[in-house]
Amino acid sequence: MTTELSGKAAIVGIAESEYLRGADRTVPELVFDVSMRAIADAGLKPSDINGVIPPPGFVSTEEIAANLGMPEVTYSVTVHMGGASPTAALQSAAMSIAAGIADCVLVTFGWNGYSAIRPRPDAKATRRKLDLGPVLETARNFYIPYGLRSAAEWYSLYLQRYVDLYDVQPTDAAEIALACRAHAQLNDKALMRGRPMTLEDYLESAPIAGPLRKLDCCLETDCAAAVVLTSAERARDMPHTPVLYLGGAEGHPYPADEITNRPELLRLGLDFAAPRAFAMAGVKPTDMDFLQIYDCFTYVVMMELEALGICERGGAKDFVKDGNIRLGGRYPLNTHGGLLSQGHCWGFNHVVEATRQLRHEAGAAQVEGCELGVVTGYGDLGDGSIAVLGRDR
Amino acid sequence: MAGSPRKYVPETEGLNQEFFLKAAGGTLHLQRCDDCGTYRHPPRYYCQHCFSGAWHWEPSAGLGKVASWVTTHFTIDRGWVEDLPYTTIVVELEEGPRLLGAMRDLTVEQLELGMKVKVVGETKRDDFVFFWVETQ
Ligand SMILES: [Zn+2]
Repeated sequence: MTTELSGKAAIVGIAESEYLRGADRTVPELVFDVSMRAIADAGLKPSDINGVIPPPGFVSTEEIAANLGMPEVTYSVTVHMGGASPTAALQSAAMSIAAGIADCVLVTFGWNGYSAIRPRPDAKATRRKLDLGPVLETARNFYIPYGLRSAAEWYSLYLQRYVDLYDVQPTDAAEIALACRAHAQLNDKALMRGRPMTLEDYLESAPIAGPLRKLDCCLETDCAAAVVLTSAERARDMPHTPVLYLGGAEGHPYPADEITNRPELLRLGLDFAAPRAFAMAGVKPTDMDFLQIYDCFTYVVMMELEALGICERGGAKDFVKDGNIRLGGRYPLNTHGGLLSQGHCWGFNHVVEATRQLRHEAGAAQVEGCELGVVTGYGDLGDGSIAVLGRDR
Repeated sequence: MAGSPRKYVPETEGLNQEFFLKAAGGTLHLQRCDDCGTYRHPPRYYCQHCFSGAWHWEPSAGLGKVASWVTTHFTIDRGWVEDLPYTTIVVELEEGPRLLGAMRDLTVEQLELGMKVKVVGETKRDDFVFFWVETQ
């Protein structure tokens, strides 16, 4: 295990779009806009950027460089891990910086998560789509013909086992939905600001699949976000307090492209990744001051908390109780509202929020004096990613 | 049912297509390693136990037990809206691999982990077979 990457790179610029149900702008426009703003937030010009990690689909490195003005790109890569991609991409960015391949790296993601499913009647068709890659070949042959077409249904193939094995009740998962919704009330950019949720609302929401109710599921959103990283040394001369990349990893369940024949059904990508990330960072899960956990579904958050090792197997249902994951509690979770109540930006909004927190610029949602935090990503059929971030001292 | 949206039937290719072509002949076949004898599904080019690339199709009676199930109450699949709520069962075949199929001649209330069931194929096209899960 190498720890040479720890602390070598830092997040120095962040930006996010509005979170919308029906954006006026195209995905490339949203991506260009947040990229420009993240670069400016770092006190840089586009021509300072020589590393680019674009989203899987929608828009290319070449288009980003040409539209923004980046005459010499020395490093470009795309991560194909669904919602685990943005957080996994931080690792590629940090590696390219530590290796001296790139000086300043732009990581960006945007999509039409709402409009792709519910286009406006007058909407023009677009050829720009998410590139899910061949991971779905198994789903096309063996799940979708049975009416298992969405992530809610695929993930229920293991979430159902999880709730049965550990006797997880809807009132346990509700703690996550309610915490995210409460935190969204503090966030101007949250889709669900002004729409508080009660336990009764949660329990009355319609069943979807397996253990999932509607209010266990994240929001369909049009949005984009961008982050700029550079070396820790250079970061110290930039406008904001650097947020150091202390550790990170990606992990994949086995086999990653098929759920039902996994020898260990409940062992997800994050179970493989989390120990490596904390070892690299030289810290423990219980050292974290906040948790920005990929919350496509509430029960997935519970499995991720256990994968992190912040509570034991089956222990998430107790961990989330008694305000422990609320602002003011020991482990504030998704202080921006998360995918469940801010909007679904593939977890990149979690990276943006973690950075704001560690800069101590999170406004009403600020976790007082925070120094360390963790971000997770989750995607495809259970891929995982993680970043352990710290405020530069 | 005239006018109902059709259920999705995938375009198949490669080993998956071979799997369905075999099943369309009337008998489920599973891949089995020539070297260590391990069965596998979904189809793969190499054995995950001994890494051998030598294998053959072996007929299966489709007998097994319930490994898990999922009931869907809301779907974005128009072909399945009229079937709501529907239950999909994961069967652990006697040979070892697990196969997913749609519940038939059973109710959710009757389902128990480990109960004996069988997988029955319905040929939808010469290169795609849909699997039902029934009581043995
Ligand atoms: Zn073998």
